Amino acid sequence: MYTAGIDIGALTAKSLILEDERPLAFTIIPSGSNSKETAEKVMEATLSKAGLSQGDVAFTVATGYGRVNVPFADKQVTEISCHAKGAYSLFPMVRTVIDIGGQDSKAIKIGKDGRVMDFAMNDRCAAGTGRFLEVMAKALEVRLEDFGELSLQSKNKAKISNICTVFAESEVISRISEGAPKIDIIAGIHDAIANRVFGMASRVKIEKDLVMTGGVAKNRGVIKALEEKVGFKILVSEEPQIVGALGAAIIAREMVLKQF
Amino acid sequence: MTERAKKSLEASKEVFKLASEHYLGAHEAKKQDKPVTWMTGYDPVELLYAMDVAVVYPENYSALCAVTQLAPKFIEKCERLGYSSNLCSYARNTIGTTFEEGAPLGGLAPPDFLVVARKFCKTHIKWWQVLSRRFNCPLFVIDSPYVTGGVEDYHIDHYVSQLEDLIDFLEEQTGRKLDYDKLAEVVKLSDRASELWDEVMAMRRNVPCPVGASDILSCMFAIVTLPGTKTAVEFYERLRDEVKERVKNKIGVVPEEKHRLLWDNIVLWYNVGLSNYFQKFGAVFVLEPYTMVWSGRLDPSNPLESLARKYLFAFIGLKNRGDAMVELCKLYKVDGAVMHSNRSCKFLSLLEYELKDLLMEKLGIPSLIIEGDHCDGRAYSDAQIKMRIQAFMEMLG
Repeated sequence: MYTAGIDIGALTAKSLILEDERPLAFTIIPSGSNSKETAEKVMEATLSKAGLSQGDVAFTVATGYGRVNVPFADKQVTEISCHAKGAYSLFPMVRTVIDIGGQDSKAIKIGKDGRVMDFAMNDRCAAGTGRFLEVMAKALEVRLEDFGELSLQSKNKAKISNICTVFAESEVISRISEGAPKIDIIAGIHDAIANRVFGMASRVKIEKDLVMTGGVAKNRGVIKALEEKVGFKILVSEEPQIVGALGAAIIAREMVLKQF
Repeated sequence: MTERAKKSLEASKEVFKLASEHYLGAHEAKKQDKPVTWMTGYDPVELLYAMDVAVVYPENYSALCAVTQLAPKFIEKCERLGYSSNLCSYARNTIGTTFEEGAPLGGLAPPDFLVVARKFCKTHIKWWQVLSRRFNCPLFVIDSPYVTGGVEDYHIDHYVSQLEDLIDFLEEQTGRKLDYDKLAEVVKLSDRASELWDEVMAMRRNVPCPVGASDILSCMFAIVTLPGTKTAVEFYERLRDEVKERVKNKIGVVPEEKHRLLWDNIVLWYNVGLSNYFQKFGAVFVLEPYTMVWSGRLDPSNPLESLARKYLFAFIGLKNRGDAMVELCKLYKVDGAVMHSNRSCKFLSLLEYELKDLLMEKLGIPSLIIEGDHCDGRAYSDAQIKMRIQAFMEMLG
């Protein structure tokens, strides 16, 4: 049986196809401005990688901000449930999930049976999200993909004290003009984002194992900064960006099995 | 993306008329040289009704402005005058309506004098001082003790002495003496309205819950602004009868009641239809501490002391608020709580994270905290809030 998960986030769209319990193929593309077109595009790409057509898929679950704009989805489920489900399937000992996405960051408390027990999210503000890092990468004229490795070279991280993305950007520009090395500024940015996310996640009372999902989990610098706050190692899957889509596909499979 | 609230009751349809008559009535009183005053919720309005003073409520009126989607215009006007956007949006809206054309129902009739109690809300005094300067009229401040434990005799004595000073002030302002027989009559009517309101609230313990938040939020108009009037008593008799009938016939708010929720804090008045979204998941608000606090039983033979007891707000502090919330959740068979972290009201929002922990610890009830504001919809993000609600509903199962 084939089931699909599609996760239309604020910055990227992801889709994944499961053959029974095994991930068969996945795709990640930028979200663009038209959710419906993006949804079709990202799904077609994964179907073609898997050598399938839409008709082969028994059930599709959509998640992410664009979940309401996926015409071919059978059900819409929130990112909270999908990230929890995805992380639990990859790391059965998980008790806390931190997902830093494009415009949201969230912390999810997970029970022993994989159920969502509680969650906390950033308030109406982009601080502590992927968008924050994007704005900073632009200000520093550094590729976002290089942020993680660069920050690990820093021995003296700069202080970025503003939590507001707009004000923090001006602060970064001041640090540049003061002559602070970019690697130190980037390390400071990671520290700022880790502080913010740690504060938010503490509301659900962080417990081991802690799994980080979402695009920002690819950034080694953020992981390191966050590990310093929580005091233990954070688990990250090989492809953290597709955990939401994976969870959606698993929920899709459960929906089908429930019907029999 | 705001929507109107779906309502279940016939009584709710009367509320807009009641409110219009009340606010337009103050303009009419003004024309007939009857004094008009502005008060806040939770002030001893019975004394003023006994003195035949027309009373209007800027907070309630601001909710009305928000419901009709007119508040942003007045809030922005207030900010252009130099007031901080961190000020309570009820205050900003009210101040804005006194400077800008187009306020609903002709705006609030200008006051001849102002009365306000210094109590839990820290904005009231400054807000009323601004109004006092704006209208160049006298202001009487009731010094209401901040009660975090139980109400003690010395609290009552102090409040009664404040009421006696208020009576002197009112007699001076109106040029009339307080008629104690009239006061006893008003107090009796107010007590009756409270009794009926409590009765309606108690009926919400039934499964299925006969009436949800949308109707109650409309119908609370009379218990807030009209206690001590025949209008309130007659209105609540009709409301009570209608709700009773629904209980008898087991008529609920949604076809299948899956979840019984508590709402904490003031609502998002510009988007009262948010409760419709909960109903899509079979969830009904059966209880809001905010709508319950307005009633207070009174003794016509001992009016001042019983008014003091009614208006000494004791829903303060983690112990009082927490204990009450836990008990109420048990009584109303609540299985989830939604707490509005209200940007305008730090007093009500401050303890929400503690209350959330308490409900989980004592009763295993999960809570969702959503960010918003009671009157200023400009910072409300529909997609973000609905995503949190949907996730919470998935969690409740």
